Amino acid sequence: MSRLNHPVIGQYIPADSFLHRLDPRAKLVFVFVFMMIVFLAKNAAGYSLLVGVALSGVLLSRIPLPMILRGIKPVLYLIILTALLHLGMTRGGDVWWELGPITVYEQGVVQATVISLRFLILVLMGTLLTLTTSPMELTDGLERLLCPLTRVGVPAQDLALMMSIALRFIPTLWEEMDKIMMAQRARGADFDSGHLLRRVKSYIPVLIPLFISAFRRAEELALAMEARGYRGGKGRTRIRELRWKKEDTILLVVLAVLSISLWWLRG
Amino acid sequence: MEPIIRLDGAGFRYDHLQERPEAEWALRGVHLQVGSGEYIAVMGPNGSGKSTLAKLLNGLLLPSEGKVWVGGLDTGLEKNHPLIRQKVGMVFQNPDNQIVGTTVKDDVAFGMENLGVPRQEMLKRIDQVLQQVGLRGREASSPHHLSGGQKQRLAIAGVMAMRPEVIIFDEATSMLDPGGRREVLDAITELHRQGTTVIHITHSVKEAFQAERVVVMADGRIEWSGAPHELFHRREKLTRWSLEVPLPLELKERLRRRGLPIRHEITGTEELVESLWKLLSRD
Ligand SMILES: Nc1ncnc2c1ncn2[C@@H]1O[C@H](COP(=O)(O)OP(=O)(O)O)[C@@H](O)[C@H]1O
Ligand SMILES: [Mg+2]
Repeated sequence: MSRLNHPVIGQYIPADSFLHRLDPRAKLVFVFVFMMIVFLAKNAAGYSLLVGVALSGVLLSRIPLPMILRGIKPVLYLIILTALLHLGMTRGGDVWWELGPITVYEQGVVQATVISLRFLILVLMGTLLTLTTSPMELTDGLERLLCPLTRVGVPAQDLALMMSIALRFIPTLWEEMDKIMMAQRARGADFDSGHLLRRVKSYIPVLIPLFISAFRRAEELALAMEARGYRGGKGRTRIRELRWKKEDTILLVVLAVLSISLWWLRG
Repeated sequence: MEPIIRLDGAGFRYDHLQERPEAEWALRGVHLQVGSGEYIAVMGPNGSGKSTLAKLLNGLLLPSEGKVWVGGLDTGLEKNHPLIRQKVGMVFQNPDNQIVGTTVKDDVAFGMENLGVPRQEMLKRIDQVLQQVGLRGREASSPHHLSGGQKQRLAIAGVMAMRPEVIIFDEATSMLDPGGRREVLDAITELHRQGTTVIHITHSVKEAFQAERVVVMADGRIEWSGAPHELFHRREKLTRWSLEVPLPLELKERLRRRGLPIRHEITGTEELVESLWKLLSRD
């Protein structure tokens, strides 16, 4: 009986690369805008540009290709499925193949390629972001980016604190779940066999004590935070700081140039 | 000298908001003064009101009757709370449920961030307190990789960084193994030596003997208060307060009951060992 494999949170891989050193704010803005301008690409030139940017990202991350592929793998099936659907359903242009009831048109091939390429580029960029940025950095970046919204009532600081506490407690709760499962196994519980419904059901006696203990922890933690003078985000100073460097400005300039080029190539 | 903490007939009822007359008092008519720099141990059975008392001392709970003063500040006034929280730090029982930060450094900073301490000053103090609790070099560690004793020392560091005058330990050693206990007790002794006022809530008579004064609680009241060595004459009382009787005391009482000539006034392990040696060398 194997112990649970602890999940790698946010799949961050520490390394010293250009992408790792970038400010999380710059990376977040880049990926966010990039995900929108992907849809501006309408032709081979546009897509070549996007692929070029994505591949540069891979090179600049200095993360081995297999690790990046592992991050993409879960969505790969989805991409293949979408591509197959487009291949079989889209009509237009010359008929390329006829396989029994299924007819594949030229347009179908084009659509399938375009859609899966777009999908792949989007997932790749997201993966690069989480591979090169630690969850805490992401939290800090989001907090600072959301900061201007504090005035319209978005509690950016409190949200960020919530996220970091969640990150802090994931390993603790995971360990606890492990312990509860072992205790249940010792009493004869079986988590690994039977059909899906039965397996899901066998987790109920694990989740209930886990939730109860999580609530108790939350209550105690709230008290401990209050005892340490926590009064919400107002008037707090921060130990974590983000440093905007020349490279971050360059990244945003690249983003601007990329957007304009895509807009221009669209025609 | 003005005591750092003063309770004037303080009492507390958990559902005082609903004003249910039949609600039980968790604490009733407590008068207590704690001098600056004093080291006090608080003992008593479960449910005797120790934690309730602790929470009254830093304004986590407000007294339903009477008054609580911290350094001349009334805890009943909301506007005093930030300062009171800075003056009175608290270390809780469960090491896991009081650590907020994702790294050791972040966690030590948490209290200071709440106080609005400038970043440069925070870095200085983090270095200093981690050195004091022996966690220097672990700044980037994830708290969940620390042992129980290390986690409690981290919690102590986080409180120390806020430069409090009083630190309350609410059964802070009870979930630790003997090694972890030792680490935390040593940290407490050191804090006291440096002038911090210490209030240590514990079930262990042995730990209580490190303090200068012991306060015993029962049913929400202070049952007894005095120097720790006086407890040595009160074996029957320890049993009545359902406190564990320390081994040397138990041994002394049993030997006396067997009729051995051991003086009743003996108050420590050392003296007991000495008189036993004398008895042995006489034969
Ligand atoms: N949050 C709470 N709500 C209601 N009653 C409580 C609460 N916490 C403690 N009590 C009650 O107050 C009394 C004193 O509890 P406590 O101060 O925790 O004792 P101790 O720390 O000595 O074990 C007990 O009778 C307990 O049941
Ligand atoms: Mg208690």
